[in-house]
Amino acid sequence: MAEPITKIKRLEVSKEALEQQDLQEINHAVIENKEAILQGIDLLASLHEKGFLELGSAVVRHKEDALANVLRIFENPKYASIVSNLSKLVVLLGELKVDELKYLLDKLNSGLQEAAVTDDSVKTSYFDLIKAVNNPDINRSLTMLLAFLKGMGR
Amino acid sequence: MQEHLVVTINGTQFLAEPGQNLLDLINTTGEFVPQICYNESLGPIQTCDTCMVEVNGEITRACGTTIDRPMEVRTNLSDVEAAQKEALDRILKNHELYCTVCDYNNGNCEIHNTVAEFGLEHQSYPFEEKPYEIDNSGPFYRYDPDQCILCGRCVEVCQDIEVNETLLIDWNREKPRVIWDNDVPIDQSSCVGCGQCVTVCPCNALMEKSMLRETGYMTDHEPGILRSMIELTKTAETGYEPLYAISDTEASMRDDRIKKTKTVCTYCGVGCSFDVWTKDRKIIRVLPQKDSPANGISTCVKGKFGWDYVNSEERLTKPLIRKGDQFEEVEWPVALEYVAKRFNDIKAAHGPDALGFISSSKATNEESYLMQKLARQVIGTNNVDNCSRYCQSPATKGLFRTVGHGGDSGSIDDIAAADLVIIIGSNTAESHPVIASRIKRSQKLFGQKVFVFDLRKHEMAERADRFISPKSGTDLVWLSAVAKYIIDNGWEKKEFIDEWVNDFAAYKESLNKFTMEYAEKVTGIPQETLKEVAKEIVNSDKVAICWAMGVTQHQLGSDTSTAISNLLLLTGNYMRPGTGAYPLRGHNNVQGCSDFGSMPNYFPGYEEVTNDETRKRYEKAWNTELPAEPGKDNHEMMHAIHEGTLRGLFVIGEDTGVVDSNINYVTAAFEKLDFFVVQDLFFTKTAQYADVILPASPSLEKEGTFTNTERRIQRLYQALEPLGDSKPDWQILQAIANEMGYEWSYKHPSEIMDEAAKLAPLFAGVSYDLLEGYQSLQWPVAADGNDMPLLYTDGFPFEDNKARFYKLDFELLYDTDNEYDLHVNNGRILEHFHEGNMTYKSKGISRKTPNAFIEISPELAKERGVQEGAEIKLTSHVGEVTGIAHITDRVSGKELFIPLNDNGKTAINNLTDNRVDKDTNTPSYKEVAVKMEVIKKKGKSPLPPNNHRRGNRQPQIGVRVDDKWKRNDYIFPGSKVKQRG
Repeated sequence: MAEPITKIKRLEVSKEALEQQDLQEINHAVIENKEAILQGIDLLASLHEKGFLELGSAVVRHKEDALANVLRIFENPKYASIVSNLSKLVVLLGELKVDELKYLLDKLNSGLQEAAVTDDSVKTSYFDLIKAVNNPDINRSLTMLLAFLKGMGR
Repeated sequence: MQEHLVVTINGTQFLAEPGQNLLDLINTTGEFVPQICYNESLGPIQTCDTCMVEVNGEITRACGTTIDRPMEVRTNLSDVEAAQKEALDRILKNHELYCTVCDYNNGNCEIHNTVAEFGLEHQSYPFEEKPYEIDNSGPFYRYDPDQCILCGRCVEVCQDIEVNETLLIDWNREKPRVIWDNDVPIDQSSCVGCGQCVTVCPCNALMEKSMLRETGYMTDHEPGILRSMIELTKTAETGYEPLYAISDTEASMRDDRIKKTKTVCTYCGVGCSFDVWTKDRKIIRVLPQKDSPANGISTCVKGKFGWDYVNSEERLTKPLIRKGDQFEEVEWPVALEYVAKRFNDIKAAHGPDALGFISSSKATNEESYLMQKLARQVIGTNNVDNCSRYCQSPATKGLFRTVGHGGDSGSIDDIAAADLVIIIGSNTAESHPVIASRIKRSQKLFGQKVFVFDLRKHEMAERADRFISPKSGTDLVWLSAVAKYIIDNGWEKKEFIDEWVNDFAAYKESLNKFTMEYAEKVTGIPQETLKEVAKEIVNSDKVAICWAMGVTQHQLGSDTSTAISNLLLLTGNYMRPGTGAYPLRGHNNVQGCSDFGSMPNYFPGYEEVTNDETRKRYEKAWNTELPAEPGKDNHEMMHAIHEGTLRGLFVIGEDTGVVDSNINYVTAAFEKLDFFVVQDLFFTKTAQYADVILPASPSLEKEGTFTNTERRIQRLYQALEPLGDSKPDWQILQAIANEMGYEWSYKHPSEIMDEAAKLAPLFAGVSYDLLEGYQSLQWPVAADGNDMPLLYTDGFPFEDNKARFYKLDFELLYDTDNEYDLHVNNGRILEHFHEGNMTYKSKGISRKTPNAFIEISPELAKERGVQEGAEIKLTSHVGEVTGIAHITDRVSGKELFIPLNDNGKTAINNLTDNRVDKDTNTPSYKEVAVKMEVIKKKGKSPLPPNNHRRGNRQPQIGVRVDDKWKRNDYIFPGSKVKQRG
């Protein structure tokens, strides 16, 4: 004979037993992943030393506020243009011909070196200028600059 | 053989079938043509204009082109690409791209993928907001007009696949949008929540609410912040390519946190399969696939959204043992030892037949197999049965008598392909929604005729070409009268009968009684109508008959099922595609539970336990002697408990104390048991009587196979870990057997299936390898793995390969009388299932349909002076229910209807009695006469204002793209390109 009943007595697992169970699980995981955990501790220690850990936790704790603040900044047209300029710059970088630019920059550098040791007091006369065209170095520079100007005008 | 047509695509020649869709052909060639509105399952919609190609010199939509002549097609001319780009630009004007922070960015966003593959770099037209709010009103999904590209897939699926006819696009507005009914919020509309619009939406315009803020790493933010992030995303992106790079990376990272598992629905017998997306234990999305064999992209509300029960707090998570006036939670070893000991004690004291076993139609085939093995091998009794006893055993009986296999003759595709579908005693739209949709589609678009014979004017009846309402329980009479009329006129398929069917003469003679006059008198259907029906059946090339509980749950359920099969044989409607008998199975695995041997008279595969040869095969395999006499069915078990011969009972996954008929009698039996074990997900009404309750795991937490109404065996994979200490049924059964001294050692359900396949010839070739993913097998499966989607193509499974006519008689066994003057019909409603243990756990479903109700006809309401919301009491010979009245013309005259989905005071089985089908002991649930008492004359309607039954459907064919093309602001992208050129 069994009347319908609805009362349920839950199995009381003691807090200690549950804790013991959890600890066992953790122990097991630690042993399985010993190397990774030791390395992880190293990483944590360095992060702690440099103060990143504290900073990180604060940011995570206030994730939504932080994000809102950052986004508010970018909503300002002034800063929004930074973002769009940044991404445009990235695109630009992709288009630059670095090898050619390097050539030009090398030349610019040696020009700067020469200029740095020039005596400011010496005056260049009109004649000196004409004479300088004959100097092979100066002539190469002029030819290159003229070619550059031509290209730029296209 | 039809001749093929040559289609030259970019210079390469291909052979095409005449009538083939050009885009379909292009997609098989490896050429890329962008396409967004086109979806293989839906066919061409022609709204997005992106699939522009040049055909014989003209730019046109590939999806709108039927191959009817040889064609020269170019997909890569600059004009063509310009037209494609124009169309894509127009789409992006309607859709803001913020993929990385979009919940839909899971690798399958069709806009994202198309635009990326096309290589679109910049937006030519800026995105424009539409002047509409997001519609968040419904419980399951939301619509964001700003993201909607107006492709019309959702409308197409709602109008012509689901055929609920709720969604449309209003092309006449300045800014068109999708609207529900006559432009009401989703929640107030006729939407039934099938979710197919969400499934086919190519982007995030329609999304499951369970997905929002769940899928992405950066989508879980307050709306304001999300908006800012969208703005930032847009500012930062100078072109689309970097956007794709970032969002694609993020999308693939999402695979790490979202698990996608193929499963099979655990509700009705249609057997829908789909991927279920889970994140930890959260179920965030159900996504049917075009390769889902039974359902394609379709689902109903329960399969798409009804999964809350899996994570319900009410789930049992530990075994319980009755001690005094309470249950106490125990650990598994304690429970198992106790169960084993008590089973052994009863067996020792009273013999093995003092124990009974009831399997679950919710559990897997493998679990049904183990349950009958436990009963037969371990205990030594054939007292094992399942809930098909409550529903479709009479249909199986009728088919065994005539054609030899107890299952649907063909597939759902065959029902859809019939010229005439006759539905008898089945509210298919609510009980088997996805099958109903196939019928509704064939009727709406392809000229299929639908005749409905039912008491109640349900959705199928409303849509039917003919709706005929015979007197309850008299279907056998009109079926036989129609058969006689056909023979009298010489219209029977003589050649078919001569070649394939025995016993025609005796059958013909047995029909003498069923004259038109007699039929009219008994059924109330006019003779003229019956004659017209006979003519229509004879004049239709392919006839399929679907039936369900309205036929089987009567005292003549088996005979009526037989009469259906007789009529099909007489008219030659077997052996061919598009024809046959379709007893629509009610539960996900009610077919499989019987197939795999949880029957008192059958081993797996319907082999008689009385057959010595069969028994020897099992005795050898199981190394034990087996009982030769058939055991008791469910119904007989209850009697035996009252008689004192059955002392112990084990019930898996069945709330017998609610769903069996005459539950007062059933629960009184439970009280008399010496020992009662219930294995379930929940603490059910039945469990309250148990001595031990074992916590089981639902389908999402285990592997196995289900068999649907098409005899289709499909695999389910494990999506979640079992909750708490619950276990899959097969593991529990194995543990009990082992506790009782056996050494079962199944490590995986596939090993159980292998054993069943080895022993039962019906499943000889079934193996998990052949059922991988979305593959399926329809039994019988030969040893070489060949299955049989359409039965009887080579004859019938009898010795002479021929079917048989089966003689029938009729006597009216049930009627109302002067005192019990009202007839109570009962059945399913769409959104709830069975006693409701699973579906009432869904907040969304319960919000719209919180409880069962009692439908009363307007004329009866007037006569008895009751109004909407009245509280009434119904009393039958054996019991009473109270409930709230809903007045509707779905019922007429003195007929009432109660949804069977209630386990409280409106539970129908307080009224049903012990009368059964004479051949199968299936309770005659549908024969209930009551008297009515009015407790309160009016009150609050039991149907909330947002119930879909109050909606206002808007039937039309497809999305009406013509209306889009007629707009003044519409320019065909092809001609726009030409203008520019």
